[in-house]
Amino acid sequence: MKNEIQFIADLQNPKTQNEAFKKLLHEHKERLYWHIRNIVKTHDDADDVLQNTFIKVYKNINSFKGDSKLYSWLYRIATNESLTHLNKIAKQQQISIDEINIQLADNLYASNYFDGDEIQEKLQKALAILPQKQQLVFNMKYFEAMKYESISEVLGTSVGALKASYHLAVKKIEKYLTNN
Amino acid sequence: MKPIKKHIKLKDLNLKNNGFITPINYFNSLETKIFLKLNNDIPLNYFKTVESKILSKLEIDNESKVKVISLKSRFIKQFIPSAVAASVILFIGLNLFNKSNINTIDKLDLTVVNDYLDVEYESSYALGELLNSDDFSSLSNNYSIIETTNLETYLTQTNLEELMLNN
Repeated sequence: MKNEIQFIADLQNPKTQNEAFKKLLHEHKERLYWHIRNIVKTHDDADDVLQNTFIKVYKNINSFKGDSKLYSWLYRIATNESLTHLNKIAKQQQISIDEINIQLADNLYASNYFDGDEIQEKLQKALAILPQKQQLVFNMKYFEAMKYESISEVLGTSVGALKASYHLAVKKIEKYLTNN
Repeated sequence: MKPIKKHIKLKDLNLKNNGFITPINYFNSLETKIFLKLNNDIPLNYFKTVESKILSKLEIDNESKVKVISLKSRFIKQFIPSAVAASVILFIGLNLFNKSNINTIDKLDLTVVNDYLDVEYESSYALGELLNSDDFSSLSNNYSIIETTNLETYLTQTNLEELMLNN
């Protein structure tokens, strides 16, 4: 915790900011990439959103008050940027974000950066029909192996609600995989 | 008898790997890309891609010719006939307008004015009630142009007694 306080101070100090930011990039780039990728699905979009996320972090670091953990703040920005990106695509195509999710899942098989087998592809399609919040919870718990307490800090939802949401998501996915 | 579908359990499937992959060495070059973007504050490869983006938006086909419409021919074909028609309508309208019976004061015959006043105002007292001091001043100014000889002639030839009785 003490180390984190110092690290935040270094990030907010113009003299040490660049070095501290390089360290932040190095430590969090992969985890944040996969978090974003799980939401936006394609590599190119994940790349764009990730860069935008770090630029936003760099420009707004002085507004971080330290009332949550640094990584929770990073994940919140990454999540919001990802959802904003999906909403932007949906608006451009004049369809809903739910339809965008289904479209992205359906197009996975044709992507150069999807190496999954048939069951992995079906899992993504099953995920795509869940409500957005349930998808987020499932991704963070199942693929990213985050603890409920950490997910709670990122999404601002209680641990109990998260457990219920995850349980429901699993049931729906299992039903989809059984029937398809 | 229909085969019973075996209910799939997620925990029985090893699907922790979501199947997504990245380009080779993607994470190695990421930090450099982000710092470049921060320093330049312009999108990466912006100038490399902006030209093709603009051209694709314009959808210019180099093989097809763009039809050029001559302004001169457009002017001759569309504007001049419209101008001629407008002129004719204006000419006709103005003539009609001019032929309407709007008379200026100058064109009014004096006898017509006198007849009007005789009909509308039974006595000179009624007419006099309409006049104010400014009107009388104006009238007195006009009287100055009456030549003395004309006045004298009028007074000698007119039955003054009758005038006084009737007014």
